[in-house]
Amino acid sequence: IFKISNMKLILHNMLTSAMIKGVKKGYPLLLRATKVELQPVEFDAGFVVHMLPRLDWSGVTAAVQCLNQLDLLQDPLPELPPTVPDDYANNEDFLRKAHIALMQLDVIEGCLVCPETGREFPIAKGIPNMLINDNEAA
Amino acid sequence: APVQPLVRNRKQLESLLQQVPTFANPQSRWEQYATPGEVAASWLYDAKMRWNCFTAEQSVLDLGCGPGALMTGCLALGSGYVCGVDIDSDSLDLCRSNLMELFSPGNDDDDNDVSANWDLLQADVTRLSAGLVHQRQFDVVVTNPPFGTYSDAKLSHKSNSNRRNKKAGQSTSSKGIDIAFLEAGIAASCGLVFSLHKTATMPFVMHRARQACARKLMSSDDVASAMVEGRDYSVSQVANLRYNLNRSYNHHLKESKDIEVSILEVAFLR
Repeated sequence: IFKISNMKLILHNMLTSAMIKGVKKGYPLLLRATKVELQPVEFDAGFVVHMLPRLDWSGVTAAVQCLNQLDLLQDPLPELPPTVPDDYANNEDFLRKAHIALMQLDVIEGCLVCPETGREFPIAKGIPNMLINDNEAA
Repeated sequence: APVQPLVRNRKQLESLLQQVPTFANPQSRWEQYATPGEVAASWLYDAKMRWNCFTAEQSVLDLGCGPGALMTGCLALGSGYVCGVDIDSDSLDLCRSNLMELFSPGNDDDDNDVSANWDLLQADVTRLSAGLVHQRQFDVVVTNPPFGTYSDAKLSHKSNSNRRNKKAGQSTSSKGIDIAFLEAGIAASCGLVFSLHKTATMPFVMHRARQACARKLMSSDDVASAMVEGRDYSVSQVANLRYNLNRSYNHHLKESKDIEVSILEVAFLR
């Protein structure tokens, strides 16, 4: 039995709708998930420490908030601090929580929504579709 | 017995990548051709030896991932996270099933449970930079882009089938698309970019790579300054290979043909 493997919040963290004409920032995309699953991904502190400086933490907290509100999981995702702690590189408790959010939660079905225009980007089988029409392009 | 996803040497990598199922019906409108297993293996293994990249803490982006030979290689070499981007739904379906076959957390069939972290994204690579929140998010970008040999004129000559197949928002122009992929890769990388191009086009491609790097600013604490080749980045031609394009395209050559390709390496040194 194969477990599904996507879409991770690390990818959600990077995506915007700013390629659409008129959108100023398009971030973070609202996460309107309909099917999610928590996966047993092995914790890797080194990966999180290395990636964290390149991520937008506000996007992570927004995504976790969205998901906890949707109440799709048996247990809500661990609560994340509003900012990354200064000692994050040595703070295993924080790194584990960040890892769960970024790498262990799969958004399998649903959509991403532009916060400025409401334009929806579907997620099917864990793959988000960010294609736009030519007449939408900036 | 199932193939071992993790590899210890070049031969194992080649063996693994040669088994990645590929396109049944390559779509000429996207100039789809999968990277042959032995090309992908050689390419990635050499990169790993040169830079010790594809490590567990690193993230990798594959632009135009197709059925996923390069992604498979990057994961098999130990990359922490690999994201593949493609415009075509059928490619992504195939890639997803290939990756799930080999890398799946909690795959009970296998004694050696190898999990790997990957995502797929359906997007137009030529519009990708505008759609990502930051530049420089990936340690390594790999890409085997469409060669961009077909101009608008040639594609519209295919008229009826193309109009039927063309979905709204998908650009028909392939001119310069390999450069567009390269530029998207240079923007997305904070470390390395590897791309594959026809050898004959390499002088031009390298020129465009240098231009793109020079435009990419070094940002330090208070000053953003232009990057300097040699100090801040390097652009090199690191391999020359022979590549066989099969005769699947109905408007392509009647026979199978070898073309010469080269690998471009861009490295951000600081």
